Amino acid sequence: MGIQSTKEKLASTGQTFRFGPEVILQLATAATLMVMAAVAIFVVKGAVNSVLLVNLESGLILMAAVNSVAIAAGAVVIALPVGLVSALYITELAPSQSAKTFWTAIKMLSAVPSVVIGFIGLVWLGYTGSSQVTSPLRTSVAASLLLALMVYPPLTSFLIEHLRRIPASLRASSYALGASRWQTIAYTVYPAARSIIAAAGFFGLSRAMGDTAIVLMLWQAAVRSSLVGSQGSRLFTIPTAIIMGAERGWHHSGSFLMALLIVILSLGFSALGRRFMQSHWRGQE
Amino acid sequence: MRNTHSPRTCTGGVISSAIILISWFAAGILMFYIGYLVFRGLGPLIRVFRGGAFAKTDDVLLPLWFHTLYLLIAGTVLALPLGIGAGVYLSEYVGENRLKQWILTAVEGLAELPPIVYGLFGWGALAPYLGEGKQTLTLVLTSAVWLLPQLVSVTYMVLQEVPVSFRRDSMALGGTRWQTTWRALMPYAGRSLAAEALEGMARVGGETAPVIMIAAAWTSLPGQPLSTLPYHLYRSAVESLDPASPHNFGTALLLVLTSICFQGAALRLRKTGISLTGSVHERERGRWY
Repeated sequence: MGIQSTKEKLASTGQTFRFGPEVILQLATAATLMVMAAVAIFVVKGAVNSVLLVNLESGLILMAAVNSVAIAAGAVVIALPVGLVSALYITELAPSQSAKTFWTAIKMLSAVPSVVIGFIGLVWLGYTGSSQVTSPLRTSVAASLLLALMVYPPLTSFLIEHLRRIPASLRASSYALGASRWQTIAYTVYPAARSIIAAAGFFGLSRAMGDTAIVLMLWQAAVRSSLVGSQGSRLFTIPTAIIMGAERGWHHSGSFLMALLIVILSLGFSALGRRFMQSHWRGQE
Repeated sequence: MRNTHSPRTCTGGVISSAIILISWFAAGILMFYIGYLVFRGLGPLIRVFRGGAFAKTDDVLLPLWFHTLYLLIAGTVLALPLGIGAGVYLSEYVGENRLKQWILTAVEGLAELPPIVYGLFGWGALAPYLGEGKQTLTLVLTSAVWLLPQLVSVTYMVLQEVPVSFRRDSMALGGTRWQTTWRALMPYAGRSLAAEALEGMARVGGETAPVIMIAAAWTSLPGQPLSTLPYHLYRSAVESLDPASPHNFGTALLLVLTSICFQGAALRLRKTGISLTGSVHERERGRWY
């Protein structure tokens, strides 16, 4: 017989219940699970209610979802290659000291709140309230760029953490066969890291899609300087729509459906990412 | 005979330097915007902390900062015992079964939810329930609810990384499960647990969406008792005619510095602990380059 739990030990001595750490932990777990169930039930119930509504603006909701995915995908398309290159630099090329500096900087910057990046975006793009001649396309590209700025540090640190764990023996054999650094990267490290890279892309997508502040700030500034129609623009993403639903009462009822939609999308993307992580070959460490 | 496999070949050199250039360029962009923030925001921020003659609007910053930290810490204090308790229970007390797997999947999913969903929860469930005038309580509860799944999954993950031998040895010495957890596992895992909790706090404290949602729940009342630093920055950047005012730069810089302090503390905690990833990396570097 292996390790007994406290309860089993007590049962063998005839006692049935004693107040102890286990009970407290059970209570904590039960409370936690109840809170989390409340969140899930709240969102799902609201979404079901809004589906039952007659005048649901499904076209607008669909458009918001497409906008969210498009902007986030743009951000990942920009951030992933750059992040991959940086991660390869740190794990394969950089001297120890600059790798450490780079790693610290990336880690620190991954904590910068997205409001700050949105603010910088507003300042640099010069939305001042007076009318600026800018097309909706340009603002959505700007949103993608700013989101890429937000996604790049966590994406890179994820890649670094997992590239580090690629077994040293792989690199050793490559160098032993006379390959150069570049050949080792291209023919040994990259194939071993392919699923990691895909996973990083999907995690980044899920993270970029869930972000609110950057796109919301750009959208508000663009609407205020009447660059774009308020609901028709490409910056009108799901989080923006939900916040406007709360603040101004626009298609209020659709909020829950949109929330469920973004939950499904972002959890779906991170589940895909996790799938790729599982297929990653780890070798023997 | 020319050795084409040496790193000094033309292609290898070009590609290596391209990698180096691109990565430093990317880091440079990040550094540039932080530097820009410091450049524009340091003056206003120093004026706030020095006191004395400064603009009337800058008076708000310091109370706002304290208020943000206060809300964040209150939420953490609520969530910490529950989250860590649940994580410990799931990791150490419950055997492997289907239900536990489901719970863990749900916890991980909830920890990754977009913050706007928690904002919606605070706005639609907590705010009407608690009633008017309870904005602070609503926000604290919302951040606690958001921290909870993060803490559970982090605690579970950190405890799973402790080698089994720690548990086996403690049990062999006659320790109960609780003694094992408290005396054998926590000294090993505590540092990275604290680090992960700090990272979660930095994320929750810097997020705007829940605050915007909760502030929108009572349109009749001014959002003043609720204002946190990120919310204030969002409001004043979006609503003022000139987003590039010194006051906004001061706010942004203070926000960045606060988050970086949290993150730096987390990094520091993790570095001095027993770190498996770092050591593998260093060993590799020492051996092959």
